[in-house]
Amino acid sequence: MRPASQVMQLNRLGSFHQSRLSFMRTLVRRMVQENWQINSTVFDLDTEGYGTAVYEVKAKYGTYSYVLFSHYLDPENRNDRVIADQWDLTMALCEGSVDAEQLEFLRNNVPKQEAGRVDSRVFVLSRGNRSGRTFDYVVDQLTQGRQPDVDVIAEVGYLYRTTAAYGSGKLGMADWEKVRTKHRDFARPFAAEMFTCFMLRHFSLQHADYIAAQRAPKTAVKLDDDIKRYFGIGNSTGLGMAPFLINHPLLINQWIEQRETALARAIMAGREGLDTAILDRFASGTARVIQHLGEISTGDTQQNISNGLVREELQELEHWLRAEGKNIIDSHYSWAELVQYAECNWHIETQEVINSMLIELYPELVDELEEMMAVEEDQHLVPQMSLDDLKDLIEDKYDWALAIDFSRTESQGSFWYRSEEKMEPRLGQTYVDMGMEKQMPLAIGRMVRECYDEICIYMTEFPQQDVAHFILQQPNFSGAICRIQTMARSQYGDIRENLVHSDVLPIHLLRCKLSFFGVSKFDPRSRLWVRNTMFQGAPLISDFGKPFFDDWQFPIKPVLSSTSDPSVG
Amino acid sequence: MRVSRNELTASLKKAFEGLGFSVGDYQDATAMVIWSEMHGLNGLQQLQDALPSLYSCLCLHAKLIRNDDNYALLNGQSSSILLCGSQTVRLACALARQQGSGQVQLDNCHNRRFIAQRLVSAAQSDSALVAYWVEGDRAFKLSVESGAKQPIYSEFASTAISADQSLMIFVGNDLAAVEAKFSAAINPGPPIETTSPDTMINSYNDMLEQGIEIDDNLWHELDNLVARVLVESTESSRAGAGD
Repeated sequence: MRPASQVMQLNRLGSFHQSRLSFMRTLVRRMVQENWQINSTVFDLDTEGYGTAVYEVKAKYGTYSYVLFSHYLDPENRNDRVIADQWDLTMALCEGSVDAEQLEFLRNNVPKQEAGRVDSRVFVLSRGNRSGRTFDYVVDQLTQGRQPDVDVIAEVGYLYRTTAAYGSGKLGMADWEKVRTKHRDFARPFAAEMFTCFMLRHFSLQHADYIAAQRAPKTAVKLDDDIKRYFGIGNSTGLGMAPFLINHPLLINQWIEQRETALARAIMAGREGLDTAILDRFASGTARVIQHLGEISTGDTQQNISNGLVREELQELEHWLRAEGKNIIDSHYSWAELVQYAECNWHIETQEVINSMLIELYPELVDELEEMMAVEEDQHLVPQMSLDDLKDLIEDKYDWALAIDFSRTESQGSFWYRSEEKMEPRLGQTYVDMGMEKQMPLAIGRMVRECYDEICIYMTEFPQQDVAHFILQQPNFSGAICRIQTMARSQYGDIRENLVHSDVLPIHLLRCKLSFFGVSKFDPRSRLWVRNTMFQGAPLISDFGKPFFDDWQFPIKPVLSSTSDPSVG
Repeated sequence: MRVSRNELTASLKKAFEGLGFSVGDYQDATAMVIWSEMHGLNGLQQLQDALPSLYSCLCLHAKLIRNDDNYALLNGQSSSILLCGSQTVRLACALARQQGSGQVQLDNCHNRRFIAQRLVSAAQSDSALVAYWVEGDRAFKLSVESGAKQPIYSEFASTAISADQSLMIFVGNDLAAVEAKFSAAINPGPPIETTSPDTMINSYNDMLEQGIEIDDNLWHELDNLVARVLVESTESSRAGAGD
């Protein structure tokens, strides 16, 4: 497997793409293969599409309810930020069936989101806003009896975007341990949150069909299934996600270790050479990514440059694969050689796209790893460890932290804090913004450096002493030592970057986590937040139980059959 | 009102941070309170009782007074177990690893019932532990076998009323050996009440399923402490969130 010194660099983490192990992919595999039955038991909407919908979900191990409230929202008040207090849609995922009394309770609380309270029967609370660019357009087209233009859809990719999906016990909801131990259908990290977004996608498509039919019962058409599959759910992700990666190092270690294991297995599978079938699949996958990247619409200059570069390099790769296929096979060329070539010659994002594509080729070697993505975030301090050993351990495992010169102004040019506005995490400029004294402890590199320096000072007087005695003298370092000793037992987990440097790019943190969620089409809006698309290309509920080739990554525009061509109407 | 363990954890960490606890301390203190509550030992009521003194505690930790081979004496400086408990148990475990067994006496320390979670946590690293203390006319003992997830919690009638604020920790490789050391040092007689591991497990499972009941006033007080770590929002600070 690749060393942490390579993998845990922030810019590489920020170049990750979704893979077969991403949570949306594993959720969809599970739902389709287990043929989950999802039906609306309440669909009480007025002619404009406002009201209540309840879906009953019969999964393999249990029954759940997805409850959604659709509200009128003045476009002036539509805001994707966490600080918003009104949304077009609000929803909750609950255990079991929902009776009239519980529905009323939910109606009184779910639309308030953070300002409301729910109970331990609820797993996830979420909300969504309409896309101003596509929703009305699509409904108008359907109302007029036409399918929407795929090129218009490609510009956005969704009808609604979610701005938050809260789980893990927030606001009175079920504790993650309860979900994990009692409800096997959602026992993987973020499975319930991803399902809530998947159901939002389902509702959004049903919603457009419904409103069009209400407006023109005789002429309206329903969205074509191929177009439906091309719709995802939009997502805006800001700094709220960043502290999670720092505060759950064992979980991040687990995710990255599984992804690296998958990559290592794929590379090993090709160590003796490649055959025509696998090479053809790889070339087709390459062509698809080239098209996918070409269809991304973003106003971010840097992302556009990066997408262009990756496309050029992948075009080079595809051309080589098509032209040299026979030689590649005859010469026993291996994936390891390709990976090495990419590392030496191509952009870091191209390298990670190729890695995702390699993982894609070997489901039989990779998919079992999806069961290994959860871990208890349990850190332990080893009090009997000698300080000599601890010092060696820091020098070995945290050499990257000791290499940072924190005396330089720019090395401490930023700080992270929580705003009083919904406790939103924010990034401040040192000595410029207020709140430095309340900064969050996310500067792991600096914390390690300070701890190391104190150990060195203490050891001049007590060279033979152990950790237990050191923390009697310096109790404020117990947290640092606990983390250092715990993480030293794992390979990945700590991000090797100074997260308080003036030029830190938090967007890489967001992209890393989002890649494990399985999103696509990154559209950075600044260095602090990014828009993206979830479930674009995924099967529909009507596809569940049918033969399924799990191949919806890097979605591309559908080629419509003549019956669904927009011009046919 | 009811809250989940995850939600209470997030709130307590920030509340303890608001009281001035350092990272390791607020993580440990949070774990101690929640463990006690969920296992039926009234952690939240204990916290509510302890808060007035925590507001003015200056976050003092235990000081080492004496360390002879496998025995150490600490002074808790009138602080709380929430701040001194981890140090004490860790020192006892380190002594046990180096000497075969360890005994630490922590004097002058409050809120000793919170120590249970620290013992259980240490027991996961191949240590067996016993803790003992006296409160007025009652004595208390917690015993945890190596690797066990729950202790046995016993209450005794004390022979004499004591205002002593001491806590004794005994550590070794297995509980039988630790109990023998304990009995040789202290003999509290037969317990008048014992809380079994099963009772604690049932309490834990009920709270995991239904949520944890918390007094509205305490929740409000925690909110006020959480507010201490939040920063005022301004137009400029909104730029730090991406606006």
